[in-house]
Amino acid sequence: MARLTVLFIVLFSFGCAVKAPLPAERASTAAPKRSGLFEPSNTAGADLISNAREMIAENNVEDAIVLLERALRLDPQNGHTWLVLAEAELSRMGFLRAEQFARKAILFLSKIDQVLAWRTIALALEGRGDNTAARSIRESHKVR
Amino acid sequence: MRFIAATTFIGLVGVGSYAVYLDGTITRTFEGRRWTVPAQVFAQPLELYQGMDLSQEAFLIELDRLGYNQHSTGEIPGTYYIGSRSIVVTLRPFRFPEGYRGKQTVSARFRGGQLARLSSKTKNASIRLEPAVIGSFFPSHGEDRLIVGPDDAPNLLTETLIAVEDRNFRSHWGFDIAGILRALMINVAEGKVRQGGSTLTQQLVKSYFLDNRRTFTRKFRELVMAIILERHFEKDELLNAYINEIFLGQNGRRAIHGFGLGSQFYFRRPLEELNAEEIALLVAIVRGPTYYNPYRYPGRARARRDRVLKTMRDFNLIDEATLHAGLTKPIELATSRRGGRYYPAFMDLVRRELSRDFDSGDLAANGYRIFTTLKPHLQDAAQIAALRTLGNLERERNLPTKTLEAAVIIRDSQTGDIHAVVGGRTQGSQGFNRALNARRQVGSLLKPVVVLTALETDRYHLASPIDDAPIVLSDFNNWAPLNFDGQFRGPVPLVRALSDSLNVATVRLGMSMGVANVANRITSLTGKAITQPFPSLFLGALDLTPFEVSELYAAFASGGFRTPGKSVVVVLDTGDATLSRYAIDVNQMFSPDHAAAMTRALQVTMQRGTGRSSPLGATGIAGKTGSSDNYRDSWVAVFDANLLTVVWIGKDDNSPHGLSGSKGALRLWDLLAHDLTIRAALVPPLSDQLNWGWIDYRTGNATLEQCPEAINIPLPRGVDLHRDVGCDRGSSRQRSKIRKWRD
Repeated sequence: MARLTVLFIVLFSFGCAVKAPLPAERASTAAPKRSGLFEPSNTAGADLISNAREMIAENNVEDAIVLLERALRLDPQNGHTWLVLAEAELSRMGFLRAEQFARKAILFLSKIDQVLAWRTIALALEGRGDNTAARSIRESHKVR
Repeated sequence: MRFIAATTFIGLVGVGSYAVYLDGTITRTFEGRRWTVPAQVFAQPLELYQGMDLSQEAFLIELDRLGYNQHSTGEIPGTYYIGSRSIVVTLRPFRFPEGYRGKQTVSARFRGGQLARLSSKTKNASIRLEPAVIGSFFPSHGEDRLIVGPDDAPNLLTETLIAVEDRNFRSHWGFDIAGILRALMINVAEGKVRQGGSTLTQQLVKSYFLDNRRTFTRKFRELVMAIILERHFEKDELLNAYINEIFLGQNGRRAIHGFGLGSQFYFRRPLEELNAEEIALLVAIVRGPTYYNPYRYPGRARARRDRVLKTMRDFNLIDEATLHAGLTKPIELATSRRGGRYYPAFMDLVRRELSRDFDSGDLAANGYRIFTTLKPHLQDAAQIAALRTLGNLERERNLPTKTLEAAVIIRDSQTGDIHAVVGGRTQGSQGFNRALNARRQVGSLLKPVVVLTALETDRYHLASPIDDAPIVLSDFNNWAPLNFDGQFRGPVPLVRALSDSLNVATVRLGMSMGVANVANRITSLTGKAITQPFPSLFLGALDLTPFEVSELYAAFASGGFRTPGKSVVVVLDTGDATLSRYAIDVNQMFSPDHAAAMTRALQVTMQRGTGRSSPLGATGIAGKTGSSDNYRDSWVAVFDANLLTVVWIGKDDNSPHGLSGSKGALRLWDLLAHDLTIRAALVPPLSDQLNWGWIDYRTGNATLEQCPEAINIPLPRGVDLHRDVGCDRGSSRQRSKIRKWRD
């Protein structure tokens, strides 16, 4: 039951994520275009993340992870990529990996965005049945 | 009479039976032929995107590495055009793990060392160059090949082969009487063997089924088998088999078979991109890959190539202009290009990783495609830096030449991707791979683990005073460690004990926590069990390989995460189905606060401590030097935000060479760093428990930012420190008593 709840929350959160893109993704939509040519920019990683999010929403997690790893190789210090990787693992109940990727994301995220990572960690802990640790994280980091 | 008849009958029956036997065997074998196609190993593809750090020069080097040629428009795959403002390049089609990418023309403009503008007609997030082939798993018999499909061989190649080797190929039955007579006449006329009489089919039989002995029996079998093959198979099938089978050269243990690999080996370009004179050279080599080896005997090879070109013209395969243009061109081989070599040291790592999941026979025969994390430009830079540094050190120290050896590992600081492996100074061939296999004493490289263990007790912070005063360990044979210079410095802040690599202070610190605790921490970070730990462990009395050292330092470089090093991303079968994928893996080993403190301490080490001789010491790089007893091993581990590099220099016989870490291994890194874009090492954001504060490097007292010995370090919030007022520590009036330290 706990796992089903986690899964529901995760799927719900992806729906939110697609509707509310991360700042980097917003930037990618503004990539300049001229004379019908597309210009890949340093938002390349953000585009990969955006595509990966769509794949996760379509339950194509394996391919999403491939894209996210590619994005990490472009920019290993992008906290958002680590976070979406954590979310991808969470969606396929890879709770241990999800927790670790989210902890890694914290190294690179702003204080505000860190809350998203703590939330993912709490979900991962709940998925593993460690509700006490999850509650502690929710309280100390003000995660709903 | 009866006897003769009986003998003839028996003979005919014998020959007939043999022919029937051969027919069955050969047909079965050839029908079920499955070339042993060694797994091809690819480097990491270079991703291009606007704003990336990439100069025009570096981009052209990458194109050169992949065998791209300059062209008048750059609109043919594998070519580029340098315009006044931008470079137009047409990328070759390639089957990436994520799918097929067709040929693609892109335009790139560079400004200030950056890719300022990149455009193409496809809406891709980024554009990837196809990856370089960096190795293959050829089997013990050495046959390496790249399969060319029946429709993939250029018409010019097949027609030239027929014109030069077997002009009656389309009509004969496997042997060619006219061809034999013609060869005989030419050879007699010239007094030497100028032309062979074997048909392409006979050559195929010889290469596929027989050996090189020149006996009548073998020649007879060759003839019979050629006829049998011609009876059962189409001409085009035989020609395609020939193109994939024929031997074209030897590279160490590796035998180059078929025109697909021959094209890559000699020109580093796919077969379909070769021009007339290049095809002519490959066809020329067929006659005698050793005799006409263009690397060894360019004159011979060119003379025969020119003869082939003339034959091509005689058969109207090329026009007069192409002939004359070809004849004027010297032989241009792949060696004039950068990179593109096989990298045996890196391949050792790939082999080691894959041995867990794959049988070596499958890797050698099944045509897998293996995508790896190697970055050729880093590998080449590391190899060059290693060779130059060893040469310089030997000259400066009057050491006999080629006595010093080196090993280098370069890996991504965050993902664990291994980008380069140097196993020794002999890099073109397989040999002892010191990077993976040489276990050497690591010396002071272990001291950060002692410091980390101390920080984790929460009894210490980076400014905690540690007494660098004589110590005798009565429980351990009265061991009395000394500093490298025999001096004692009295109380020093913990950060300085590490940065200046003070042995006595480190042993004192280690003893306060217990040998077993430090040993356990070393084991948890390296995976190496330590059965009988002694206090000498604090000073690095432990043998590790450079790869194992990189595993240890990966935890520091990545902000406290164990990030297993890996060289393989994915393995695909011939149908591009994924056989195995090796995902990025991280596992938190210590808290971000401790990671921040450790990174900062290691930055201070490079700026003020034993790494200060590096001209890049103040750029935010973090690292530690190390050397073993009597200077037998010289080590350094350095990381920035992007890369972690571990360097070892020493002698194979383990004799002293007199080089400390900073005088040996660090010099290699400094040279290598010319090719790197340095970014300050990752210092994780501090939690609410810590604050940034300025202390005096020598005393550990709180001080002001503008003071010459001031260093900025993470400290527990509210910690009490002695405070220096101003920078004049000589004035007692300016020094306050103990004050609560605030940042």
